[in-house]
Amino acid sequence: MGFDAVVLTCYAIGTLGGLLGLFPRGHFLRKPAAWAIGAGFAAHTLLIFLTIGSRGFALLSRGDLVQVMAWSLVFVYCVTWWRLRFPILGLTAGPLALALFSLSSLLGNVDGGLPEHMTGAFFILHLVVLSLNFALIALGLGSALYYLNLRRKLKSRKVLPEAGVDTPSLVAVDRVNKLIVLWGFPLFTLGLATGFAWAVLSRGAVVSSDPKEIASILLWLLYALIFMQRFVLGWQGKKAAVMLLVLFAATLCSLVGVNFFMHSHHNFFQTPMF
Amino acid sequence: MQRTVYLFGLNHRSADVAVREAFALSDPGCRVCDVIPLDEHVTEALVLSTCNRVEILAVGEGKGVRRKVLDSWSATCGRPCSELAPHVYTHEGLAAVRHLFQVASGLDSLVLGEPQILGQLKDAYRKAVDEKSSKVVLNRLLHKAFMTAKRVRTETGVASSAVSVSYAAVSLARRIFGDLRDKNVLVVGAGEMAELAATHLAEGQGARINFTNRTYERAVVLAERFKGAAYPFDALAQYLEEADIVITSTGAPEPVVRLDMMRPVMKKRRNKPLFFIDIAVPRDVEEAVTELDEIYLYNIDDLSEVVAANRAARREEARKAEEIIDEEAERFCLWMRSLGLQATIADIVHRTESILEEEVERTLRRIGPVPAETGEALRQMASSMAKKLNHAPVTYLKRRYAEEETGMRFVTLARAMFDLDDETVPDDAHLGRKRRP
Repeated sequence: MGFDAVVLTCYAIGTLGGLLGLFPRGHFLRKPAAWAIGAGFAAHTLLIFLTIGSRGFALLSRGDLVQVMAWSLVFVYCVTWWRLRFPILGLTAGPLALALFSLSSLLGNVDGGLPEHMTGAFFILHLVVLSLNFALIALGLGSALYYLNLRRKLKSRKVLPEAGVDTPSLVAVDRVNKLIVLWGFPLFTLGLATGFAWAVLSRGAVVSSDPKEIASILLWLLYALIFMQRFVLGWQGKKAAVMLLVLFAATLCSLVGVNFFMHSHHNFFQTPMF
Repeated sequence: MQRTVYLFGLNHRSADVAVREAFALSDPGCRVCDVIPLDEHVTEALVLSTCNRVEILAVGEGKGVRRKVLDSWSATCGRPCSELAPHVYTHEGLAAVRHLFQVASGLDSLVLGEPQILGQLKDAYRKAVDEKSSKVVLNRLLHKAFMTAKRVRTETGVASSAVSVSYAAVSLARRIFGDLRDKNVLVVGAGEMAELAATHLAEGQGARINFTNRTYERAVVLAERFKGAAYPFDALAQYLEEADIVITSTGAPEPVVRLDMMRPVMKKRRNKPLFFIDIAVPRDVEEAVTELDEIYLYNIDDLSEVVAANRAARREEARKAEEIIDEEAERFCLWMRSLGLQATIADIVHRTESILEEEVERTLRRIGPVPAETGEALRQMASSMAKKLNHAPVTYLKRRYAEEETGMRFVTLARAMFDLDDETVPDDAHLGRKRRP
């Protein structure tokens, strides 16, 4: 069984186990599901190292780059779980990691188009940083949805289970939402800056009319607005959670809309422009 | 005659508080063997005495166990047995084991699923162990009771939700804020239920409790009791800016907290969540304040609904708990039946023969085809070895079993040594055991 099949199987088991573990009779599946994700992550890490080791940065395919995004998602989840112990966040991490990893297999060996002299720095600074940011926003989707759902139940005065590990409090989840913005905005800014720096070095212009670049700038402005609302104006609670959902939706539109359907040097399926 | 587990008791259903008081056995100086002297009929005993029940667990054999226990019990309390007997329920065998497991799991308690009884049962067991009135059977039984209670707690929701108004308020506060330590609680007014909720928050959760009241002196008295601050009532809006949880119980005819008051308060709070627990009738907090995003309001009706829903949920969960209890009780009774000497000897013989047969077959597979006579000779050799190996321990067991005092101990030891029960929990792993120096 190839490494990628091992990773895919582990993520699939972890995702299914995590979803079934939501039901009362399925609680016993949670630990095995977490172990499966962990095993998948270990195999995934090894796979990435082996790929870079055997092909080098210059020959990385689009599929490899998407694999890194999937890896970043699980990595961020593991760190968040280690710091916050919120198993509920795994609900979005598992399915998204599985989806991305499956996508990477579909993309196969479409050439990544990385200029050889920039591959190392570009790979680490631009791609990994943006992947980590995407992973944070993906976790933010789960935590924002959980926050809004719990808030709705409290507002409508429903009967609720006791607070516990699987049922974090409203304030605790809001803290997670805040941390996601606190870490995510600087990461996104760094990712953009490295991208524009590469653009200057490779084609002599900071910005072009490339749809991805325009989408990224708009996304950055939205991110900056949310960051300011949170940390300058002191927004918290419902408004902050809703803005996190808007951010995720905008990120997804940028990722799917441009990288799949528009003519851009970021398109996963097109041959590289450089 | 086979030993049996007996349970005799009074609880809040079978006897009123006067009878339970008269026959309580809660004096710390009262030893178990003073209440139930151990002899050839009753070999083990345990006494559980709480404000809602007095129960005696005994292991014995013979028809006179009930008479002996009731006579001793009533004599210890200095009352005639005729006053006690009509109120006592008696369970024997499987029924006694089931009842004990129900008690340990909180299913027989006044508040379904309450956890205190388990701690009280553990104390009673510890006392019985210290006084050596708990031996082989009760040791195992109580361990099974604790394990069953744990299963019930983790596998069902019978103990998982608040069933009193004041505790429901605390539970909801924890859903909003999580850890309530260092949270600011403002109590507006001085109703009894408000005080109770404040007590839960202060003692159990470590929150800071402050008071305000139209009568400032009353607020001061309460603040001293809870080691908090007292505020003048006319500055209520100012103190709402700092509070996280507000409990209102003023008895005022009109709401004292209104929407127009709360708008600027929430702006200054920068939308930090604020939880109102309005226990007053008529209500103290205007319903319209919930239009503001980060205000959560539960009034007395909402809390009562929470409690009623939780009670109903607990009753539903209790059915699942009964299934667990039935399963564990059957398992225990099976073990009791195996305690007899003959059953243990049969198990030892079967275990030895099985092991030797398995080894013979494995050897035959490994060495390949052999003449039928050779295979047969090996099997007969194994059978003969099993008989000879078992002869000494079985003879020893029979001889020791004939000794009344220690016979059962050897049977239990034999079961443990030969691993006949496939159990991982040792019989006396209940307390911190002293290790050999």
